[in-house]
Amino acid sequence: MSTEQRPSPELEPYDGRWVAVRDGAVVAHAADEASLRADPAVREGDLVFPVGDPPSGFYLVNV
Amino acid sequence: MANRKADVAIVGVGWVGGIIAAELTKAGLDVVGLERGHDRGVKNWIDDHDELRYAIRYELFQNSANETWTLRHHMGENALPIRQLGSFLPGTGLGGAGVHWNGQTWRFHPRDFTMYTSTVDRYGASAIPEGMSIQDWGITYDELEPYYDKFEYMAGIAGKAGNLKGQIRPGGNPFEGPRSREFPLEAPPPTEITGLFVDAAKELGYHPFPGPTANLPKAYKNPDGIERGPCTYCGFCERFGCEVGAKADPIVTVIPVALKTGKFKIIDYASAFAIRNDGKMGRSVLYYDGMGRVQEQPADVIVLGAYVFNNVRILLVSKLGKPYDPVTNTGVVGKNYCYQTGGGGASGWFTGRRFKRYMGSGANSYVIDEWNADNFDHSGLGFIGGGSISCGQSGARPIQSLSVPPGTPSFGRDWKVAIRQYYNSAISIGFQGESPAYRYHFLDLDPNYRDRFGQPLVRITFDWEPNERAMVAFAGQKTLELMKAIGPDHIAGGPGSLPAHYDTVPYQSTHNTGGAIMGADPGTSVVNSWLQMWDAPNVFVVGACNFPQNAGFNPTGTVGALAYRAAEGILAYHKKGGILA
Repeated sequence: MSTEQRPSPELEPYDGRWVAVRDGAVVAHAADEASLRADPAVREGDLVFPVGDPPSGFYLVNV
Repeated sequence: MANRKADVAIVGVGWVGGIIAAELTKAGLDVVGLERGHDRGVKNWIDDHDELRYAIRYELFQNSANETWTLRHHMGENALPIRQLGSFLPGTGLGGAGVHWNGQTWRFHPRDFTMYTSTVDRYGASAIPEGMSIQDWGITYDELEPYYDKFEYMAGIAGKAGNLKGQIRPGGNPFEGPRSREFPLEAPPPTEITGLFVDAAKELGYHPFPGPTANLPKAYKNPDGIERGPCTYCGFCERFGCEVGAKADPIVTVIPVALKTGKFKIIDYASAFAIRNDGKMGRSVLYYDGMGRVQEQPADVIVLGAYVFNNVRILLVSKLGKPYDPVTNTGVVGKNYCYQTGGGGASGWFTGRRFKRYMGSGANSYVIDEWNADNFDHSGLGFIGGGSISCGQSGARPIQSLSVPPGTPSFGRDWKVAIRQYYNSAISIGFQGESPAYRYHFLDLDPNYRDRFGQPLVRITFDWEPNERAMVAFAGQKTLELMKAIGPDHIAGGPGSLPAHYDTVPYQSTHNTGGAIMGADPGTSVVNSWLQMWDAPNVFVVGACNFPQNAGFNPTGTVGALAYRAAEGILAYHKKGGILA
């Protein structure tokens, strides 16, 4: 079996930041959502999300 | 020398093993259950609210020193062993994880069973991200409904039907599939905490309803004649066995039914590791006994009813079914490993209000389903899927339930003051999201690491993907909106997020799924809709390992329904053989 990489972006460098992802690659990043969306590199249809621990702590999904 | 041949040998005596054993022995078959743990029951848990022992030191869970898994985030990474339990907590011992669950007993949506087709029909094939490998289950909700019903009446589930024979009913979940009849028991009313959620949800135009619960609100006698008493709301459900038997588990429901027939034999400390087979039929189960010696249990029919990872490992070790290869996208065993996506919750703390948080039961919750599955229009959102949003009161144990507002020091005097102030004043809203399947998320045998018996560990290849990250960011805004409507003095929440990589350290969910998925096509699934192996018709593989992808609800209701269906299939196979239609 080959060791081909999955087609997902490496997000570790963006821990704590917002990123915009297009076609599996990070196309822009910023400290907050508003700044990121104002970036002309971000297009409609890009996936925009924060990276890092969630703001309320990880909610325990009950077993 | 091998044991005496049984009609049916079952690996694992949890919900799946217990249900199938009960159904088959009632029909007159001789059944042997191979349980890697030991006998136990309510008597073991009376007055035993020892949080250190059960919740911190994992008394009821798999011992990772004996057997664990390796993890890598992608195929280019070296997988390393998970040395300590954290992210998920598979059970061990009689009753399996059915002993330490909370009792949340959901039915998946009709769309969940046709996720691929439904998504393409509504949004087009381009809505499915590259690499996502969701597929239909090969069974519809309507076909599974009678088995859901059977599980709910056996376990004594309390709830409120939102869709009765196609009629939407107030107070229940309007998004659920049609039920053939009401829940066996009426749902308990909201508590002071969940009542705040209900009021806020209604204010925002949602339709809150009681989460279906296996914690009996009153005494119940099931169709098998099993009687159980009501919940005392002690708050020690998750990670604990129920000290009064009010939480449905296999030990207080189906296992005694099977044992009463005199046709069910349980072999304790039996760690199954392979099925002896000729590539077309299973002949016997090979297992290590309590002394570490290899033993053999022959049977006409073999059922793998253990946890997801164990079922898949046994198939791979046995070379039964074609192993999945993500590079060529061929093979099936190990395919579509999925999990459960959290990270979109919100929390709140009141300064002048005190609840009785220490009281509760595991599934004591109210829920909204507006943002789950495809219950909302995803056009323009950039992601598919969703999850259930709930507010529960499951108890507040003294160690793990200490919750303080953001900014509170994590030790020292101020922390102690905050604990005292907020222990009974906290409220949380959770999001439990779907986990779609991906081509490169899968299970196989680790080439480097082995368990105490020398058998290879299961290797997990998994990470969070952009689709779920966007879904969680979206969900976090919804839970924050709800928390603001509740109006506590301090709030933590906002767009939900997930770490840069899936992390096995913090507990997240024991809803691991896939690896032996069901379907209508032998080329893309391990088992058919009767959970019968395409490649070996006398081998049935049953459990959450059958899910082609995971839904936004807890899995046990669906696992129970599949077990009842498998039992029916096994009886049919035992009579006439062959692949069941």
